[in-house]
Amino acid sequence: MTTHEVMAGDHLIGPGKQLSIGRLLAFSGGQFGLPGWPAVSTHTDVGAAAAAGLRAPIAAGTQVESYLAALLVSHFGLSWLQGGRLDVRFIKPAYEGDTIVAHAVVGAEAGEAGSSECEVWCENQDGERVATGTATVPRDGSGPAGAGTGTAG
Amino acid sequence: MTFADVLPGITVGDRVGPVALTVTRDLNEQYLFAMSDYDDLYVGGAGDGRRIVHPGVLLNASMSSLMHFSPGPGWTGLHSRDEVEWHEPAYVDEPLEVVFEVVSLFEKRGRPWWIRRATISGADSIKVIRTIHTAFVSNVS
Repeated sequence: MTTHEVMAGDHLIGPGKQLSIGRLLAFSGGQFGLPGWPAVSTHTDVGAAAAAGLRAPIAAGTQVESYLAALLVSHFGLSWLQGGRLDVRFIKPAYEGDTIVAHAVVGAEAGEAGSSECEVWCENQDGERVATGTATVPRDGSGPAGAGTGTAG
Repeated sequence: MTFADVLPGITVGDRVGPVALTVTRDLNEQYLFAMSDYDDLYVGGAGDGRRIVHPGVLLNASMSSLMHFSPGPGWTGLHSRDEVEWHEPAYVDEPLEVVFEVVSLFEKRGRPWWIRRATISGADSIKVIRTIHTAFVSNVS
């Protein structure tokens, strides 16, 4: 977990995450070891993806979104989990084999007192955005949408 | 095409839950692998030593990947937007509850859309996250 202070204007960049079939199965296939694993869907199965007109299995939107949440946790710690808000639109599929990088550009403190709004997005290895949105990050530890005892910010 | 064809038996106001959810250490570690994310909060725990549940587990659990509400045969849902509020962290082995609700069904540009809300709460009904998922439904050829 990063503990340095994050400043307005900082561009936070997560590590590249390759969407291997193993990671898609781990995220969207259900719990390992339970009957019926893996759940067959466009996220886990080549045939199901093809039937939906997709060239390969795609990551669940929640998996792409989780890269953003994880990036914010890594920089804002528990503060993010105690009042953070995320609004994400999924604009392109993230396919098996793609490498996804999460980004956040920290805005000035604005809007709700004690919070900063960030522009967030995930892009693939070709620099194409697959998800885009905003995150509201609590900065003053004063309650929901501004809560927390975090280690950063 | 009608909503009854695409989303059979589903109407606005439908609610399922509370559904019990406990994120075990094994399940959390499955998601750490899926996310390639081994932050200390999830592995070593917060200051009190309790391991934090990875956000990916909660986001996926809040989606009706638990499939209480699913499109009918021949249709698939495509996720368009997610709005998430984080209220409190969840901890490994902590009993949680999930409630799913159908908020809206509507048509836009000739496609059926739906909005579902999920709320995950922990001990003493303390809210952990609330998500609002917007998706459209597409024909599977």
